[in-house]
Amino acid sequence: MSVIKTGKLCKHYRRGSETVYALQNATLAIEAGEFVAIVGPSGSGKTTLMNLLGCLDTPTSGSYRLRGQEVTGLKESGLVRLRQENIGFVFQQFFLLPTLTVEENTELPLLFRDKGKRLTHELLETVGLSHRRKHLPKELSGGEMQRVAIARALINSPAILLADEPTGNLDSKNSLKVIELFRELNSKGLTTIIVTHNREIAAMANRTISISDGQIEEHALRKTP
Amino acid sequence: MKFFSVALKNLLRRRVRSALTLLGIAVGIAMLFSFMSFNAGYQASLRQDLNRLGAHMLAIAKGCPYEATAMVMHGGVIEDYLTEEHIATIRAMPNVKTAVGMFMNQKIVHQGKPVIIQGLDEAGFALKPWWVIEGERFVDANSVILPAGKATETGLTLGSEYRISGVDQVFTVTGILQKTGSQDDQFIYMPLLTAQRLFNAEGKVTSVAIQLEDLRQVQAVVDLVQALPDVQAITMSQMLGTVQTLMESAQALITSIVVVAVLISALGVLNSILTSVFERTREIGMMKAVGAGAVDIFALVWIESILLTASGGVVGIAAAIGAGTLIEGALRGILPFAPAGNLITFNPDIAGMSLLVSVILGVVAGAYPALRASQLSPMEAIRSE
Repeated sequence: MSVIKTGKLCKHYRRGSETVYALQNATLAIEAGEFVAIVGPSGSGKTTLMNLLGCLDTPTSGSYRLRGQEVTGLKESGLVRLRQENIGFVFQQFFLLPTLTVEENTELPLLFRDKGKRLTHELLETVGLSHRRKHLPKELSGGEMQRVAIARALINSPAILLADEPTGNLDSKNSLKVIELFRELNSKGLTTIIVTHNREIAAMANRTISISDGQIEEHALRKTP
Repeated sequence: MKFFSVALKNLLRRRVRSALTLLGIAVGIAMLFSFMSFNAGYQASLRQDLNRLGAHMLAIAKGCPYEATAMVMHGGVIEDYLTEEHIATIRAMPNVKTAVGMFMNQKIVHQGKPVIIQGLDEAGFALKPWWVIEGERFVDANSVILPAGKATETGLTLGSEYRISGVDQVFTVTGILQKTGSQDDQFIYMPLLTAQRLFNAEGKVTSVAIQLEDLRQVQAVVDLVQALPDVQAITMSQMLGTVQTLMESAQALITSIVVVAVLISALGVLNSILTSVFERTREIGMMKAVGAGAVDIFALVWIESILLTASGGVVGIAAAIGAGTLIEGALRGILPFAPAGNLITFNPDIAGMSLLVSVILGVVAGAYPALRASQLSPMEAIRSE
């Protein structure tokens, strides 16, 4: 079953007197358990696509079904609920709260939706940071901070992990560790979508969606290694 | 982890800014608390002072009622006198229980300080049955009674000589008046005749203290006294009213200063929280992305604001209580009339009300930044520079 299915998804906005066509007629489907990389140069529209898929933004036109539910037309409160229940976000800049410990940063989403079940310990084990749980972000390396952000993205047991340039601020060694972590999570069945302009990172996914000038150009399937 | 602890940690992240904002609130609330406490204490002390006058009303020579009240209550110079005949006439009026001549005037004592001298006779003492005098009242024309505070201040004891600049007469301290907690602690007492002679006013008095048989008849007696040529009557409630009128303008001024201080401190909170929202735009975007709704963000920012102002309120109230004596001294310096008792008294109701005001400040000042933060679009917030 497709967890994500879009039909002719468009996002236009006005900048001064001109209309920017950030995304045009994007039609795609992502199946449960896939590891997909969205690639393209800067300004190609890949972040716009990710924001739409992550329910952070609403499309100008087209349709988007997330796990069978139509997203277009939902109000902010509906989008918040969809994000809480389905999506884990990882950002390029990590966005950890500097005053909270590793453990507290991981549990931040529970502040807004506490189901009572806490996976913090297991998740920090998974990302290899259980020994650092009482540390503050300033005491961590970039790679470690990104792994905390990944644990945070997983705390609500999302169906989809969305990562926007997750290795953009990391050196190659830490980038590799983070990608390995994504592959490990994906191997356990987590649908993973990474936005990147780095072709080497993209090559590690089992499908690549290329985007250029707001249009999806190609879907390249690759066998799971 | 709770909203409260996230908000608190966020405030601690910008320690200097938070501390300065908190200080602003503390100053505003300290002023508010002191002012409200002062109003309560002032009313109580004033009534106490009036009750301790020992008279229901006073007759004085016609003149400025403000001046008369000030003279009656904490001493002053009135050059217009009443005479012994006035006392006799008033004493003979119906419903008058006693009418006692009082003489009050001011001299410079050797230390350069003005001293208010009050002349008393036996009937005068009868008005103050609660007085406790160590030693004797007056043994001769050279006797003086000092209030305990003044005796300690000048190092004089029973039997000491007492001199007044420019006066040849040498007085002897025959009695020490124990602290009364009223304006009586501020005068020097000597026999009525001696005081009158000292100011070349033999047979004259500055006021006649009147006690009534029946307080309900006060207006009738007032009318009779006012009918005497060049005499005016002041009742206790008039004195209270006069002092309150004097106080009203001072109170209006202080009220406006307090209101301005509190408003400025609220603007400080608004500014501080709004700046912190702008600085954290991307963090707020992230929080929305990981599942925070508009209400959650609103609550987080609002709690921060209320936490800041409530702590400011607690600090302000504590500081005002700690510095109560200092504030009281400053107020005595600027007020047109200050009674002798404690002007600022600690009252839990006033502390609670001040704290409530500080919380309301946080609620009001934090509402706009909280609304701004809650309405940020997550996508735009994350992208913002």
